[in-house]
Amino acid sequence: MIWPDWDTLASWLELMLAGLVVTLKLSFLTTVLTIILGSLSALGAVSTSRTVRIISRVYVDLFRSVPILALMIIFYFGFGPWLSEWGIDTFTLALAALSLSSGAYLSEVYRGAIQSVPRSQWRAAESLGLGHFAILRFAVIPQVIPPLVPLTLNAVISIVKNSSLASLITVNELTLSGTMAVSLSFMPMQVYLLLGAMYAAIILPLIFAAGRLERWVNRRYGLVSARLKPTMAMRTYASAAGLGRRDR
Amino acid sequence: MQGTIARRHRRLAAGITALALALALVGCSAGTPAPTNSEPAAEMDFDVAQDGFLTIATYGSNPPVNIDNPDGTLGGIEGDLLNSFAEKYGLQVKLQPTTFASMILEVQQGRADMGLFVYWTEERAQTLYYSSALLKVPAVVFTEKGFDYEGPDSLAGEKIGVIVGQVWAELMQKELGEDALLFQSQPQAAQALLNGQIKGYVTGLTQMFNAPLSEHQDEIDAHELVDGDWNMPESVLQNTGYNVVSCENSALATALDEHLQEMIDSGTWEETFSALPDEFTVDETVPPTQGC
Repeated sequence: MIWPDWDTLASWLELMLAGLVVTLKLSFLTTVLTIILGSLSALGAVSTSRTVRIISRVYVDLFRSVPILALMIIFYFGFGPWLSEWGIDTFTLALAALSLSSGAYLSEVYRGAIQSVPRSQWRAAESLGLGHFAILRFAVIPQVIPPLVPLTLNAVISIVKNSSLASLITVNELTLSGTMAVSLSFMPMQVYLLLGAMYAAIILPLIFAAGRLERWVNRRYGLVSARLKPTMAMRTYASAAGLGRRDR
Repeated sequence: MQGTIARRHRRLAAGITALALALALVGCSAGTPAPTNSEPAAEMDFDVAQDGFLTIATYGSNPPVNIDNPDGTLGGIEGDLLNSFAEKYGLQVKLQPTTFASMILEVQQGRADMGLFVYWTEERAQTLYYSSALLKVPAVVFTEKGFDYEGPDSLAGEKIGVIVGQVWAELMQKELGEDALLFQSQPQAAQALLNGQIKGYVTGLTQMFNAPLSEHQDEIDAHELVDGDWNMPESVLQNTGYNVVSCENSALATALDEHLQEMIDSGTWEETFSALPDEFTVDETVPPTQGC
């Protein structure tokens, strides 16, 4: 394998570091929006309102059924003429496609965690006169957040990897800048190895952090989203409702 | 001059469409598998990626140079040249569609025998072996019809599309930064122009005759690039296209050049070439400086 000279390597790095910045920016913003969308949708899925539950279900099923790449192409080339008139650029389109799709997946994870809280705890909170939102806020959500942290980190890893699809709608992120470097130097193996190393540099720390968090959560709370340990608040609600340990 | 070019294109459109159709039909008939005559196939002194096939990487139709027919056959002047070349050696032409950037890699790595209509650059010449010159094509910027184009300044601050890997991509990216949008394929860039998502699209004039622009010629104008536009060197304003093979298989390019010379000597090539519009010329049917 021929190794590039320093000038060539510097030109690759110049291109790819610019792409890396775009990838990080896209991944960060997507993560924020994904968590917001996933949370809202999950809360919608357990809502007392049938309409809200249906809206949430439609969103999740719709965006889980369309591949992210297809979604980006639909947004860019399908709705392109109208969206460009509103001044929406390709970065925003990629952000929207990634967030909507990832949000739908994360929503199911969050909904599963919320629904894994035993019904007895909901009933205990209800017996204290708490409404739906108060139960979620004071009883359910505090329990499910810790085990969801490592799962959310795993979603972030997927988001970083999926961000490379934005290259196909001209977002000049890391993969596209790597392709550009290949088209200038014709050293695909070397450039793509560098590209892989850059992705690994982002993702490996996330994998490490997710693993550590998962172990910590398992030690602290038991198996993630399966054996959720009741909080102090829940124990209080349970004993006030006269529920036994098995009911908890 | 730019207005003149735009007017000439309208007159040319009907002619080149008819020519493309005729060449495609020739390509269809010539692209059928295996030699049909009783003459024995010539002995090959070059390698092919797949036995019995001349595998050709293509980044889509580029009329009148190459027309990738839906049935997998090759038309255009490349069809005239390569179908008869393949037939001479008892091979069947097999198209391998890909993107422009990947086409060069397919050839470099030996997954395809030949790449179609590639411009010469010093970097490319170090990794590809060039056949003889086929055609010279002017570089243009396409804009929507009615756009008041008076040079690059009139597109300042607007998004301009280029194709990854083409000679203009790096130059435009350096010049325009984020305003240069890198597309993977010609139809994507052309569609974005028609959608109004980009205000300009820098490429070769041949794309005027390729879908989707060929279907919307009354909605676009082509403005020929001149020396100094976006600080482009003169070398990328009039680009000669060549077929390319891998450096390890230069014998294939040599055999193709010999076949082309036979077509020139028999008058077949001149017949094909004379039917092309005036915009498409060639200085000399010779290979460029090889860098392998």
